[in-house]
Amino acid sequence: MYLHLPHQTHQSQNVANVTAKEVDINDEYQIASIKSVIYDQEEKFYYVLSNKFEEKLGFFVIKVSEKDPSDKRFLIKWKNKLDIGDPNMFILRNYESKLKELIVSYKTIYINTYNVICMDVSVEDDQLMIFRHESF
Amino acid sequence: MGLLLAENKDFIHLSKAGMHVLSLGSQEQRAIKDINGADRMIHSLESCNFLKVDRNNYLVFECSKPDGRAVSVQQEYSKGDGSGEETLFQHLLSVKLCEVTLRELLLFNSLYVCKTLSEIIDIVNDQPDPQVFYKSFLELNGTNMVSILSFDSRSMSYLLSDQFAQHFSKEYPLFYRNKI
Repeated sequence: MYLHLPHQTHQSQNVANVTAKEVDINDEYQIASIKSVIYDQEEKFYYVLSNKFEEKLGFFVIKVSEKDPSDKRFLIKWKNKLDIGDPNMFILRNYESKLKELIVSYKTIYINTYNVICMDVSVEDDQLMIFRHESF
Repeated sequence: MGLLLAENKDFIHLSKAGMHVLSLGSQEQRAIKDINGADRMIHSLESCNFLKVDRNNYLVFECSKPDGRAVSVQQEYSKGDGSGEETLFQHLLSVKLCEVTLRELLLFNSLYVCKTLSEIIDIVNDQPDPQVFYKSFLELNGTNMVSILSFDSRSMSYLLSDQFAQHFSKEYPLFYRNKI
């Protein structure tokens, strides 16, 4: 998967040309089997859901800056060895409590359960998971 | 297929089995009608936050277990450095949520209308199977009757006696944080 990112080159002091910089995020972040991508217009970040990291199966969510692909952060690296499918991602915003939640849903192949995960992305913390609901 | 309703903050999951609704909002509970027109109460996931031992704990709602629904309190943590870092979870406790029967509801109602403590003790001691007192119900705000009756030492000495040891399990503790 490639991201086309704006990249500024200054030819003179007054003139700025905008060209595209293409980054293969599979190679850049060592991920594969990208299942879903969502864009957060407020913060100008992408949230990427991947099923593989360093060739290991699991549940991986990466927050990537729109402007600089090297500005990235793994929100979760859960190597649960499970194939996932049928994914959906949503951003839930509560302006009163200033909460921003990332809702990720997917089904796990073979064990046939449907999972809904709620993560708090309004804080720069290591513990982001709030809820996980698992059902058939 | 899943979709999120912005107004109620409900998550809808459509499958072959039908439609599942998850309440993700802050409203603890609200009344709805099911497909048959029966009154139902939908509890939000947030309504179980009182189970958390620490603010950073996270809750797992295990509704795919063959023996019923359970809510587990877990702690998320990271192990390793750099690219070798991995997210892991430590299990803290679990609460099994049972579905209440009409007989159990009538029993609870009988306990609430008792005017004296001795009447409560009589009802507790008269039960041939005291399992109902160890079960947790959403109707009791996620707690069980043992916790509710814990103010009375005589009921406790009966319910926690060794003769009912088969009802006590390490996996599902009887006493945990509650709203009462």
